[in-house]
Amino acid sequence: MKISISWLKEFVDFKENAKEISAILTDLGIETKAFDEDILEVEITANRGDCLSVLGLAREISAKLDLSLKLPKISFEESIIKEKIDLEIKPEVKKFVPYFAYRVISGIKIGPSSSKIKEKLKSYGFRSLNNVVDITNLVMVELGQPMHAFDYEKLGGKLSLRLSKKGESIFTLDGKERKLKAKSLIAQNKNNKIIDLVGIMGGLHSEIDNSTQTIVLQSAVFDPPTIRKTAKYLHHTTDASYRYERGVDQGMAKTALDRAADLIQKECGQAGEAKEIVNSEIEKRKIGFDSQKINALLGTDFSLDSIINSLEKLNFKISKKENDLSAIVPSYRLYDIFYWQDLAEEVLRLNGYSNLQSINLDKKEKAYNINFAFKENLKDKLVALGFSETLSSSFVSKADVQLFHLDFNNLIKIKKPLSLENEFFRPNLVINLCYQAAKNPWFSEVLLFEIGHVADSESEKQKLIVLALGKDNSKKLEEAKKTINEFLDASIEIKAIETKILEKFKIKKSISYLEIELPEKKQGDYYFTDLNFTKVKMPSSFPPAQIDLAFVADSNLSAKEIERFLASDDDVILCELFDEFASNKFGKNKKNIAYHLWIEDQKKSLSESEIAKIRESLIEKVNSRFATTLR
Amino acid sequence: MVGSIHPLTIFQRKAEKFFSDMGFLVVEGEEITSIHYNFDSLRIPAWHPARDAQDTFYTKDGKVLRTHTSAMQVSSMEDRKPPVRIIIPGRVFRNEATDASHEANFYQLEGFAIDKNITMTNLVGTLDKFVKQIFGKDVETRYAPAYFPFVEPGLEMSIKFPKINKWLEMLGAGMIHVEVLKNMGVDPRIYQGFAFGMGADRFSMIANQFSDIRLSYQGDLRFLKQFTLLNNPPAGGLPKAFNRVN
Repeated sequence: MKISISWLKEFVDFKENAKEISAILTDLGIETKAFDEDILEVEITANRGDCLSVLGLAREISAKLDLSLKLPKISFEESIIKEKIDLEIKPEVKKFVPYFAYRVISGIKIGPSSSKIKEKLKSYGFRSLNNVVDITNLVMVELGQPMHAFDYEKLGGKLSLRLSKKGESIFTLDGKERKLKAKSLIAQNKNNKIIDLVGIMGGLHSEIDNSTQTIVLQSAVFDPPTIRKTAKYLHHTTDASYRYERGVDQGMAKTALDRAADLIQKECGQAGEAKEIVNSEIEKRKIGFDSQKINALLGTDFSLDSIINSLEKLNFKISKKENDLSAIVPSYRLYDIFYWQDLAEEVLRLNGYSNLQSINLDKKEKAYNINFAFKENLKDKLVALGFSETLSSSFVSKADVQLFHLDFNNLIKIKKPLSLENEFFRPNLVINLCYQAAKNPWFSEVLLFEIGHVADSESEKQKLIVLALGKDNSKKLEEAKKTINEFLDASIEIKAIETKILEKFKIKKSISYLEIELPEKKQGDYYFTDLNFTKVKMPSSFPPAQIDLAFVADSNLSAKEIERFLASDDDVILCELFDEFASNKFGKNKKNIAYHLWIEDQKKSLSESEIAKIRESLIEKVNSRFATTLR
Repeated sequence: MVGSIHPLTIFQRKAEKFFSDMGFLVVEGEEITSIHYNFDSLRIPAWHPARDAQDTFYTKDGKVLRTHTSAMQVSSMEDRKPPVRIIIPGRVFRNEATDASHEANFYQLEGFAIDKNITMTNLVGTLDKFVKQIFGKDVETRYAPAYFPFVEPGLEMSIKFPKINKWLEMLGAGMIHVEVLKNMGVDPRIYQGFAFGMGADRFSMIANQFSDIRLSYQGDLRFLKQFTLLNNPPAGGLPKAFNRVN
């Protein structure tokens, strides 16, 4: 929502600029950015519908800066209008229409708005349509009260609010026909024609036009869930429905109607006479509170006076009966404030969250999370064997399920997945690990493991998969099995992926894997390594080239240091030491060290000549830095 | 061949170490849970946009893939009584299109503490210490009001790195809502507590300086193998002996 600073200043006279006022509102929990010198961009959380207006934001600013709030002066003469309307609110909808006020206004001359009104609407982002519609929009932005103007002639003397029946439809102001489900709030005219999608958008058939002379101006409060449901199934949110969904202040509805009448009288017509239908009185919600409890919850030491003072600035009325204090919630906060803890937040919010000191929890004995540590320790052991930990998607597709000969009747089916790849919850880990193995064609050996949840219609389990692709894959799996059996007394079966599946994944090497359920461990070692974070190099979307480099180096030179040096080069995504041995044939105190390197470019596939060039430059860099020679 | 540990594991281990030193137990629950645990018990009303099928994975048999680890708050208290300190690392799900900052599955870390005298300043104290542990002593923190139906008061924490003039929103937290305490079977007249929930991926991505969440779930060895013991030596050097505890 965009709100202009100069408009805000009509309500509260502050000196702060857009940036400063943004910071103040953000500290109050209303995320605000200065769009430019005059416009604020405000984002409201779902509970703060009361802030969806100039008035709402001005109230917050006035409370925070301790400045008085000025409401627009309303002065007009009521006029008796001979046209009358028969307003009917059917019993079935009374509970969804707590308040409904309207004026019949005649003598209207439809025309363009004054430049002052146009300017204000523009600051919010509204297009100027005509003086009457502009005034209803202006009052909505100003006071937070959505309004609607019907063409009196098109009502035939009657306006009736009821619930829709399934299959009915309405043409809304935007020219679209909208098919209704049952139980949406709608209004119809004398001829039973639906003329308003209540709280969301007016109907085409009661729209005011250039010949309109009399209008019915409505200012009402509707039940948020009822509006929300309709707006949701129609996928149609408007500035009005956005406010109604979050709760409109019943205490302001009549003022808004008067404000609009005043503006209409000044701009283009008369004021009419106000009629009010109150189906439910504004609740007087009284919340008892205690300053000690508030401080004990927050960890603060606000005095009772400052608590009362803060609440009063936010328009809570404080009443005192003997020693019991209570706060009466202002009507515009009734959708949000129910508990004394809500009052605590109000006090804290107004005084600033910076009042919260940083206090340690009481000391407590260390917790030994054996089950957590058992899995981490197991991971460390698999890493030591050369496996890389991975995480894969929790979903599989129907095609995956068929490829792996599983019965999808036993699987957990997702209701409306955004993508068909997410049709089922994974019943095992092997399917998605095959995908991952297939995505690494530039590695002659792929060693992966994952711990993750799988499920079928019977149960959800935590499983471990260890998978190896490459020439020694079954040997690697035997090692993994041995390691796992040191932790778990489980029978582990090593399986091979069948050729048909390998072909489907275009994998030319064989794959072995084991997949077992991981039990909860209540006893064991509490140990795992605490690794540091690293600055990641982003893998290119283009394939890497793999090259091997072997150097003859002084035997006291650290192979790891050269590895780190090579890995840090811009052209290198990965470097791995694969061979290191000393031999007299290289000379006295010399050794051979050899590396696998993966080199790549972020923007293209490397050509043969580019690979050769990078290779030469890496050799040159290592030789000059470490006094090595290429073997 | 040198193996490697997943960056999210590196984060989870650091978190476990930090919180277990303060007596927090690790609880891990099921990923497929009930609508009650995921939404109702946390006061997320039926009409809330978060409950739309566009955002949430529902299963054909009326369950839900947990959309946040907060879904474990009430269920983890069913066989416990306060005082408690619990962290819940785990996988969560959102039914949304994937891009560099969205994945259908990702990880969160939930934590909560309930006792007679736990205050909001303890929450700030705990979070301050935690982010300094993860990102270093020089990181600044800032707290602002925020709205989550299951806490009151609620807050949002942002952090700022030295010399970088930008605040990063990191997590939401607050004092556990009275109604949620009741749903846990805890008497709110005697006990109170805090709860926080953070995106483990966000922490991992900031700490390891990468910007595409999908990298964590693709199994690309060019990415995974950057997290070797060699590149990420443990704080106290490579391990020598085991701490045995039973």
